[in-house]
Amino acid sequence: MRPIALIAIAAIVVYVVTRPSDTAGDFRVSGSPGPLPASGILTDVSTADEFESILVGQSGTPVIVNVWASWCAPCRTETPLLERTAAEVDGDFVILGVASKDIAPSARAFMDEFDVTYPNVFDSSGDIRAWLGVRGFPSTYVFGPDGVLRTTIVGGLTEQRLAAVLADLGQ
Amino acid sequence: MIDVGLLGSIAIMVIVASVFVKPWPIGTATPTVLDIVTVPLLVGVLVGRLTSMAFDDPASLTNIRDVLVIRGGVEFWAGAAAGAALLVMQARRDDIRAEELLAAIAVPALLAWSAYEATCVIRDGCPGPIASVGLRPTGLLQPVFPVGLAVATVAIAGAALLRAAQRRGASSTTTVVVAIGLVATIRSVASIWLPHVGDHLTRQHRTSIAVGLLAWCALAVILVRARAGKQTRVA
Repeated sequence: MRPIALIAIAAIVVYVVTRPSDTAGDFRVSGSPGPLPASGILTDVSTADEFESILVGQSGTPVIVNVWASWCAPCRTETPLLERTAAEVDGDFVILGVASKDIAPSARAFMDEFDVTYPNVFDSSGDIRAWLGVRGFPSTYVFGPDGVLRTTIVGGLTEQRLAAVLADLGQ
Repeated sequence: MIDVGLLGSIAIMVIVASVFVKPWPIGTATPTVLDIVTVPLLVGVLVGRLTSMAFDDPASLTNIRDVLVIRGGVEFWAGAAAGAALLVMQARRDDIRAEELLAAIAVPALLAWSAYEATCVIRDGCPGPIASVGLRPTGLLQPVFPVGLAVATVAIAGAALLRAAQRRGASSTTTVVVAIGLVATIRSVASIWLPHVGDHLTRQHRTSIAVGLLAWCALAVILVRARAGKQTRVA
């Protein structure tokens, strides 16, 4: 048992040391500001420029962009957390959902099922997904008040991780 | 998407439990590591996950893919109860005393739990309150106090205390109750510092406080009864 345990621990250590970082590097939004989509409904946004303008329009407020799809199981488990968070941080942060790689009726049904009240856009062309460099579903992108991408979280969010990010942004 | 960090944490937990728990003969039975570590852990995770889903999103209980998203939440005490219940069933099958089996795995279980908490480093960077000195999880500008590492350290100290108590002749029931009380207390205290959304107590915080109170009350009853029994024998 012990040699196997040592090999397993060594493999995990190697993974930890060599795994790719979640941080996306120097990525800053720019361009002309646009309005935040209406809350609780799915707004079609067909170009990355249009989406970037939404982020620019929120300058001064941290934005948490959550890329999801109705077929994605982890998205389903984290949506109630995001909805609760949106209610708690109203005004201090913006939570913006991006339904991507999906069909609009399914995405709308998903939002209805979870009573989603924060703004959501529908990435009908896939441009937003490409612009953000989405590597998996769900993915969460945290933009600081200066429009700089602070971090990318690929995979399901935990309340602790999200709360830690919010606390860090709020300082 | 496979959550490699979480899988790594669980693997390390199983390895630590397997290294410290020795299959031992109790009566005529010799349980295997599979019996007393792997299967109870898997059952515990499954029941904990289902319980969490029942609370948070009952509609998803019918979807097997949602059940597999362990990261979505596992109810700790429901899982622990399920794992313990399985061990009790195994003890009955093997005609050994359940409390003996549970007491024998109490210390390895505490060490395994501490290993899981310590591996927060590979799961999510050990979130905690912002501090002047600490770890800086990816994406955060300021260091945080790594609550998971502190929990792991205290759990190891708790395991050492429990082992010392066992060596000094603590009964099986006392050992099990103290182990539960220790875990519940550590989780209750840690929950004060673990980041959470909103100002309310989280469900894991509330349940840990309740389980801790029950465990320490049970210990008080056991000690009072033991003292009364001793006085009766002296008289």
